[in-house]
Amino acid sequence: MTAPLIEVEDLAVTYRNRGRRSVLAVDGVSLAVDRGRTLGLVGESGSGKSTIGSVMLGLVAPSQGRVSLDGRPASWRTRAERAGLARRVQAVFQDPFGSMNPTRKIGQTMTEMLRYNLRLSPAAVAERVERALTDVGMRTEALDRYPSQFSGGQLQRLAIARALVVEPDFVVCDEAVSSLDLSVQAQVINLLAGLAKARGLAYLFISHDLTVVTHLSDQVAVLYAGQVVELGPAAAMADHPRHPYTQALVLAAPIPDPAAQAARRASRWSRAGSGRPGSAGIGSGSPPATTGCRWAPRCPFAVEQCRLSRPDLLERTPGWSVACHVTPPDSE
Amino acid sequence: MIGRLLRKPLAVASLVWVLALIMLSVLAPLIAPYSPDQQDILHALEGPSRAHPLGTGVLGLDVWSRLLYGGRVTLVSTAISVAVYALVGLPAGLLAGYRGGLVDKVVLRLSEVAYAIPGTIMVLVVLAVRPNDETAAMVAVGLLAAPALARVVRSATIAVREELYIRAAVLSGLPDRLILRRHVLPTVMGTVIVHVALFATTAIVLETGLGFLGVGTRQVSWGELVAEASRNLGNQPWLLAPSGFVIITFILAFGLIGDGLRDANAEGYSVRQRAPRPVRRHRPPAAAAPPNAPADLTPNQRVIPAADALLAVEGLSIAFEVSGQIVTVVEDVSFAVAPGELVGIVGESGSGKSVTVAALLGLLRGTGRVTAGTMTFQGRRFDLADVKSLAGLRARRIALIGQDPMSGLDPAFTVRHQLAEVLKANTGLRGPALAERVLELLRAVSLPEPTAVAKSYPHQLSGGMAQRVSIAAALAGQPDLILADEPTTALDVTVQAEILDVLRSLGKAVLLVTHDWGLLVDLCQSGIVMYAGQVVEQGSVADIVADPRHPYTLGLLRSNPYFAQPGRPLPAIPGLVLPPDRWPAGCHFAERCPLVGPACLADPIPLGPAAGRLGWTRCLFQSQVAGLEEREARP
Repeated sequence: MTAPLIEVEDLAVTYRNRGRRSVLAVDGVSLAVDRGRTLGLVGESGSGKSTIGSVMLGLVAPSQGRVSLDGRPASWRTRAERAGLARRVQAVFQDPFGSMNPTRKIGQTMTEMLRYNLRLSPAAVAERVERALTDVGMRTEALDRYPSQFSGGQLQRLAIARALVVEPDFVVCDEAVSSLDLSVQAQVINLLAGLAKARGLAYLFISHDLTVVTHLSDQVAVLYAGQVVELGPAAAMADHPRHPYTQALVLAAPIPDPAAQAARRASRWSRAGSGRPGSAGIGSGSPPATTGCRWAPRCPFAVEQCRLSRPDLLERTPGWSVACHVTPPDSE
Repeated sequence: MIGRLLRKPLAVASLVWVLALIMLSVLAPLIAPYSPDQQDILHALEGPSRAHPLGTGVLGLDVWSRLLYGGRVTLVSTAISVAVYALVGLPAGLLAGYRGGLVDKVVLRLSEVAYAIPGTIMVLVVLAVRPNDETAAMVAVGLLAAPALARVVRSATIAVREELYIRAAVLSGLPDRLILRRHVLPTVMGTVIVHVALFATTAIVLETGLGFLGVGTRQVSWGELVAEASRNLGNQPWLLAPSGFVIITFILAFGLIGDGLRDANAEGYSVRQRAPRPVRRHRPPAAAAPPNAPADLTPNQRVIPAADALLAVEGLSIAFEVSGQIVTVVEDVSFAVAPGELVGIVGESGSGKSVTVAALLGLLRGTGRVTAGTMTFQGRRFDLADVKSLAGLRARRIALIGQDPMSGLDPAFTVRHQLAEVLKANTGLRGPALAERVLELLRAVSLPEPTAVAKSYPHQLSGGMAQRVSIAAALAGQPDLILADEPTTALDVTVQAEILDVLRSLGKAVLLVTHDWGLLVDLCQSGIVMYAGQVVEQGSVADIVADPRHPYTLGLLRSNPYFAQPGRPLPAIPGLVLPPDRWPAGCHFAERCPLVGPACLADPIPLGPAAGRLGWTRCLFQSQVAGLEEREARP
């Protein structure tokens, strides 16, 4: 069996707030992405999903655990190591206006990695850039313009092209379509899916939007308070989530189908135990627990054991793992 | 950048003046009619004459010649201290800001030490040690001022360091010096230019000051000329004019060049250089054909006689002034909300949905104004262009909930205090009744522990709790209609569901603005779809979603990954929304529409009744929209 393209094992990240206690942003996470596959990472704010992406990019040093590429440990310590990894691992961020330097022409930003890291000849640089621009559906005239002359959707295409010029194996997409309008978002989703196929790219696709993640991913990991609570096949998991938190996420996401949405709402209310619209329900105010299952304080199925011991992420069916002491009923 | 600088008349004039002074000083030995120490005792302390165009000083020294020679000394000294200032301050600031840690600490401590040293005294000490060595003095000036520049650059760099494009550059494996030069430096350059220009003027004042005090160089300088003039102010006041004029204008010109450079630097990348296009004149909104509504139908889908509607908006048009041109951003929008009805406006950015709602409360920002439109609210008719008449409705009859819950709350006061303020202004409540009403409001938005929340400050609340408090504040005036503009966009999805539950449970009419079909379906009974400033479809949410009659509605619905077929691309709408100044006379969606025909392009498309069901659509081919979907479904 070959090693996965990129893998994190037993990862923990602690952020130290000045003057306050340290915060455990990621707690014992192991994930792997295979060549040409897409792993979706979904969770709400504070779940640690972006932190995991930053660790895989070498932007945040983990306090525990390791990252390996092709089975070999990855290190970002020296400049040569960083430059080497930059050729294989790239990123697309959420804010298209922030991810391009407003004071530099698109061409200057797009080519610098090829000129200064790969040290390609001007002809080779031009060829790579043109290919990347064609792939994202932009024209080469864009190179001579400044970021302020483009719309958010166009800038996001250019940011994708910038990530592609080095011909990486793996791209971290951190909320890469979240700030785009729906019709533009659909275009960029199609673009990302097409590129994965055409170039054999692997993605870590981070988003708070379960529907988008499901559409783009082969596998999805659901994070709550820094821990993976469920990891399974994307489509099947969206239809029949097994962890109570995943179920809550699915039930809370409104869908544009009146009958199905009414059913989701009813199911959500019945879980909240009140059936009364407007109730605080599962208690959005309750913070994650510090011992046992993090989700237990908000879980309608929590039993004594959930408050005492942390459930392990166990494979229930092949390729589908859940970290839960109980087996909750299907949500729909 | 030079080109842009040369388009600024003030900066050009200043540049010409400064360059002229520099050239004259450099060429002094060639131009000056006399040497700087050539005496003409017979004509001492005289005004301008043929022999001495700017007059003479003591011993009949020629002022014009001495001004030229003096410039050499003054300008060189100034240049030395500016160079020291920039070459020390800029790299130190960049490194401290970008690297942080130990480098940052060292730079900060050194700068504090430099701040503690009184500059003037230090310079005098240097001159005491090395008498009349002005170069050493000016280097000291530059060194002492450099920490101030370093601190400014450090702050600017720290702000830039967090930008995503710096992250991306780091991910590119670029060395730090390249990131600093290519990404950080251009961004902080504006700040640097202004500070260097300001310091240059300070340096020149200081240098002339040294000359004035007579502790500077022994050679003639502008400062020494001023000193000479002040000693003879009684005998020959004119003597102050040439040197004073040169110094003042030089300083002024330097400041103006600095400003010009800063602006030219920023304009390079921030100006939208879209090719200027003739702005199409929009037809006056009044001429738009009003939909031929049967008398007993409001523009909404529901069969509510207009008199029963809580809110009826008719023919609302909004325009903004963009660089001198009036651009219409909302055209002829009409809709109604029945008492207790939940209505949603759905659209993408630029559709005009948020401005429409803002206009109902007279809250348009900037140059925006209502060019046409009336609103009937609870039987009273308002001209929407008359912003003052709408003030009485705000908070009392119509309340607004915004996207960012925190921005509506004052961080300095407790929740109890803020709700009580609103209640006092809108009701006569006082004392215990007031306190009880605050808790009642917090319970109405389903806050689990109202007493605890009332005592909290906004920063102690989570986003979901803060949005509940904003809703409670909106309810304080007992409004009949709540306008909710993207109220859950900043919230997590589980919290969003609960906020929707709260809005649903209030029993009040809600006009929701959203970009999310799911929200519209979950909360609303009636829907209004907007595209490029126009309502393109109206009806019951169930009808719109199940049987869309406008190609844009269908396209936007199918853009939602929820409807996606596994492994197939989303049927995305091609192209982009046109900006308001390029909207065509005909259908605004024509450019992106699969059904477009010649009839769509010529004239404005009226909003017409949907065929075979209630509702309205702005499409000539509404019967073909359903077929469009089947066409797509086939492989």
